[in-house]
Amino acid sequence: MTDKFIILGIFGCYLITVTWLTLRGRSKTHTQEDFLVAGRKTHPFIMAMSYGAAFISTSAIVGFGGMSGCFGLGLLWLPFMNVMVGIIIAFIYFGKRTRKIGKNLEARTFPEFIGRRYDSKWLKIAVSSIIFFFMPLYCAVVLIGGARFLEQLLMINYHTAVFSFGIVIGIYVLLGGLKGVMYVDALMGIIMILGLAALLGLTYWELGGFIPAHQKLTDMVHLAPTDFVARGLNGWTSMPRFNSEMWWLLVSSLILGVGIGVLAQPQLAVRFMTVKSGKELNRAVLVGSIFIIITAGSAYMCGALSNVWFQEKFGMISVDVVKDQKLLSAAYQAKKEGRDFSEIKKEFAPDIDATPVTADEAKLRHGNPDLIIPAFINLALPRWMVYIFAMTLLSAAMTTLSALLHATGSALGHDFFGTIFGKQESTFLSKAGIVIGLIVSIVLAFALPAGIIARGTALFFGICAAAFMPSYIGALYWTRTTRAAVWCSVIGGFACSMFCMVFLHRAESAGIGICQWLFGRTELISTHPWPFIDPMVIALPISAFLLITVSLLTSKLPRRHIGKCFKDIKVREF
Amino acid sequence: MWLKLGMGDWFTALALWGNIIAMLIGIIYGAIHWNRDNDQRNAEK
Repeated sequence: MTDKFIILGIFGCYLITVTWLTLRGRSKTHTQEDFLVAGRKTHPFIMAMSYGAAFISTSAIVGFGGMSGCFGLGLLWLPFMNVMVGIIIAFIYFGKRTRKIGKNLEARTFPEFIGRRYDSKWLKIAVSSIIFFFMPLYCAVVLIGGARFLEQLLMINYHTAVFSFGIVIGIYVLLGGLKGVMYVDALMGIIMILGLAALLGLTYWELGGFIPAHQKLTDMVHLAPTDFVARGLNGWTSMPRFNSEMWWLLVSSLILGVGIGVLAQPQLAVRFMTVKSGKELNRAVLVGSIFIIITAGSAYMCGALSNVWFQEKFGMISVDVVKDQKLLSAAYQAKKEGRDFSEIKKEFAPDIDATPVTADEAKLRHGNPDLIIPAFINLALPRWMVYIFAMTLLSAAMTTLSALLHATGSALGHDFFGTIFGKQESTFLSKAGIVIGLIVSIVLAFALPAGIIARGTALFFGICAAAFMPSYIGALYWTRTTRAAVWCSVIGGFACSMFCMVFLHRAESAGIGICQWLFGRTELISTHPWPFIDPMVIALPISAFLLITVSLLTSKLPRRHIGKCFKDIKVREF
Repeated sequence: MWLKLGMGDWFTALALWGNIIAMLIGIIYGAIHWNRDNDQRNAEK
C-alpha cells in the first residue's frame, strides 16, 4: 500500500512539473516559428538533452537492453555508433549546415527543408506523406512500451494506460509546442542520465567491480543455450559468429540500421534548426556525447550483466528466469519479506532442454527479453532504485513520444495540408495534425501484436534512411543534386525498403504474410544470409546510386536558387 | 590482460574502449570549440 502511495506521489510530482514546464513553453510560443523550431534560440544544453532524450526511448533501454541480455555485449558497437555518427558527425557535419540552410530558406520542418532546398512543394508533400504514414507506427511502439510499464507500475488496465499516457503527452505537445517539448525533455534527460548512471554503478557494485563483473560474464560462456549457440552466440562478451543469423541481426539491423539511420530521422534533424549559431551545436556535442554513452551504454551493459546476477542467485540465465512466472512471483515475494533467494534457487531448478530448435521455437522456449531489465531492477537493486528507474523509463517514453507526435503533427498539418491549402502560417493545422497523429497512434497501440517494439523501431529507422538520407546529404553538400534525382532517390529508396520488408527480410515478411500468400513461403530467397540482411543495407545504396546517377543526367537547379540556399556557406562545385 | 577489460574477445573489448574514447572525443571537441562560431569568423573576415 505504501508502495502504491509513493509511486502515485512520484507520478503526481511528475505531472505537476511537466505541466509547469509546458505552460512556460506556451507562454513563450507566439508564432509558427516558435511552435515548430522553438524560435531558433534554444540553449545548447536544452537542445542536446532534447535530442538525446528524443533518441533514447523505452525501446533502447528495455527493448535493446533485453536484447543485450540475450545476445551479449557485441551490442556495445551501437552506442559507439550513436555517439560517433548520431552526435559528433550529426551535429558537426549535418547540424551546422542544416541550421544555416534552414535559416536561409526559412524552413521550419524537415519536409519543408527538403522541399525548399530542391524548390519543389510536391517533394515537401511526398516527404511529409512518408513521415505521416510511418511515424505513427514508431509512435505506437513507444506508446506500447510506456503503457505496458504503467500497466505494471500502477496496476491499471492496458487500454487505460495507452489512452491516458497518450492524452497526457498529446496535451503538453499541443499546449507547449516545440519549446514546451524541449523544456520537458531537458528535465527528463537529467532524470534519465542520473537514473541510468545509478543503475550501472549499482550493478557493478553488486557484481564485484568493473573488470571482475565482465570476467564473470565471460566465464559463463558454457551456459549459453544450445539454440542461441546454433544461431551464432559465442558467449555474452564476444561478438556472434561471423555470418551467423545473430551476426547479421546485430550488425545489419541494429548497429548499421539504427546507428546510421539516426542521421535521417526527421524529429531529430529539426532540432538542429532550433539553435542560434554553430557555437551552440559545438557545446551540444559535449553534452550529447555524455548523455548517449551513459544512457544507452548503461542499459546494454546491465542487460548483459544481469545474466551473472541471475545465474548466481537462481542458477539460470536472464532470459530463462523471466520465462518462469512462478519463480518471478516467488522472488518478488522473497525480496519483499527480506528473505534470501537461496530457497528459491533450490525450488526452481532449471529445466535445460538441449534439443536444437528453430528461431521461432526458441522464442517459445525462452522468456520475453523485454522483461529482463525490469526484472533485474526489481530483484537485484534497492527499492529506491526501482522508483528512480520508474521515473527514468517514463521520461524515456515521454520524451521520444512527444518528439514523434510533434513531428507527425507538423508533417500532416503544416507540411501536407498547409502546403495544399496555402496556409503554412497557421499553428491550427499543425495542432490538428498532432491530434490526428495521436488518434492513429493510439489505435495502432491497441491493434499491434506483442514483441513489436524493437522491430517497429528498426523498420522506421530503415525507411527514413533509405528514402531520405542520400537526398539530405545531397541537400547539405552537393550543389549538383537535381530535383529529378531526389524524386528518384526518395521513391526508389522507399519502394526498395518496402519490397525488402514484404518479400526478403524474414523478420517482417513472415509477419506481413503477403509473400506467403503469393508464393507459399515466408521470403523469396531463403538461402543464408538473405533472410537476415536488413532492408536498409540493400535500399540505401540503391537510393544513393539513383541520386548520383540521375543528378549527373539531369539539369541542375538555377544558380540563383543554389546561391540563396548556400548563402554564407563554403561550397565546392562538382 | 587488463586492456581486454574482462571481455571474451578483442572486438568486444574494442567496442567498450570505443565507447569511452567516443565520449572523450565529444567532450574534447565540445570543450575546444565551446566559444567558436564559424559564422562569426566569416563575418569578421
